[in-house]
Amino acid sequence: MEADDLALVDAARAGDRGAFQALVIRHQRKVYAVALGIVKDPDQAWDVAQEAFVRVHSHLADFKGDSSFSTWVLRIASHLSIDALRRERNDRRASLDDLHEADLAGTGAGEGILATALGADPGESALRKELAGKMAEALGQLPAIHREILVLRELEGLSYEELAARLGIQKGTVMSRLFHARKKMQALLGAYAGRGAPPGGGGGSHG
Amino acid sequence: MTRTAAACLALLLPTLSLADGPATSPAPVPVRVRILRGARQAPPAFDPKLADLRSQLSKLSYVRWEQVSEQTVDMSDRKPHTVQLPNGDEVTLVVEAVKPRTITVEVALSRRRTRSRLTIGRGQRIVHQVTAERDGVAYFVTVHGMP
Amino acid sequence: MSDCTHYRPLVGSRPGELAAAEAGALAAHLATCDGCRAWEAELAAADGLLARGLLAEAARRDFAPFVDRVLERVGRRAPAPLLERLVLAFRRHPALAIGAALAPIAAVVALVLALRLGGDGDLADARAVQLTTEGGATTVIQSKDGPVVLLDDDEES
Repeated sequence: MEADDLALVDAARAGDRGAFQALVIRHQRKVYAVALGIVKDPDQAWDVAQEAFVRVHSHLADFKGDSSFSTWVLRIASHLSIDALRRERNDRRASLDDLHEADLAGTGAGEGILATALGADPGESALRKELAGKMAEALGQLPAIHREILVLRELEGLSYEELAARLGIQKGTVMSRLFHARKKMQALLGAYAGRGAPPGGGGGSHG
Repeated sequence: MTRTAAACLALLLPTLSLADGPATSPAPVPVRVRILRGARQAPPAFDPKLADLRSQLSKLSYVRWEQVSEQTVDMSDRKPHTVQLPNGDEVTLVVEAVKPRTITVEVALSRRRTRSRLTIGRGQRIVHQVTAERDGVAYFVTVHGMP
Repeated sequence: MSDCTHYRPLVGSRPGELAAAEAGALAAHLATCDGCRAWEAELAAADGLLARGLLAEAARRDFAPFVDRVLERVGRRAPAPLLERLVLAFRRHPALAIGAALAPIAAVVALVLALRLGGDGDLADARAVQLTTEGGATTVIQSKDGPVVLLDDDEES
């Protein structure tokens, strides 16, 4: 937990490599998961995750403990992931963020994919586990700006304000971009989740 | 490479026996068994009943710890004791050996086909995850032998 | 429907993220709009799924080489042989995690680990820790208060 992370950071700062090793082991999977969600390619995510820890190590002296170690290393990982994407992507941000009436299609009453498929008690269902896997898979099919905002929101847990600051966009844009990202995700999951849904309950729009 | 080395270790290390004297009589041993619930995505909280486990649990990234159940069982050598878990699974505990300074306990999860045999010293506790993590929540069993 | 273009993106906000007036207006809209309520249910159903899916993907990867590579990059000398590393880790950092250096432990071979730990005062009652794990992959963290055994997520029953 966090108090222990801080003790490990102190020890690592004093040159204790075992402490740094323990920090890496403790956080490596989540750091990798964040990178994977954003950059999509497993090998690139692996490199980004490693680079994140290398940077953490070189800036241990700067870590003040204002935020948790986890927040810090995930922030570095997501920055690196977004930087990696920005070197590659064709930026269509403005057009992707606009919201029009037609964009609401597929998200209204009678068109819920997950809620219908998972039912009232989704806690422990096998379908829920499958959907989680499909969702991670579907994430790779989303545009980069949608992947990054979903990962920052869902894995890093950033608030609207933090997302706006991190991505350099207005809060309103944060909300509309998240909406588009989630709607696309829902459409991608539609065919899969709809398989187990009652007649008329599944099969969302793929538009 | 690491796995190869681990396999070599598996062959070599049993020869390094524990100098702890012979096993004692098969008299029942009181064993304190607790089931814990750890959650990652929840407001941080630490059940005061788990204070003695803080140093072990604090190594994990779960932020909310609660004790679900507790029992003290008189366990005889090699006689299995089964504990039901909140998700319907069960964990089977067997006291394999009791020595003056150590106790060896087997923790078996039949549904996962996982079996761990752990020897701990007096005052130590085994913390063993017993369910896969789902939605940031996992259950653990702790075993504290009191020979 | 035009209200929905305004309100639907607000659905899924966390407490405190919307201004009070905005949150109140959203609640009023939700009370009258089946479509936005359905979207709210959809987001609730999806809550946590993406994180779970990505973490499960991460759990499927063998992270054994990860930390070694990071340590090499930050200037560590070449890693010592496995047994030496384990013993050193126990002796130098008895309270720290070392088990992950072993993880994931292959299911095929039962791994027996018995390390002598003589000399450390706080381990006086546990001069040796013995662990055997077979079956599913696990990670073991050793501490002075006893072992912590973690299951890997990738073979849920």
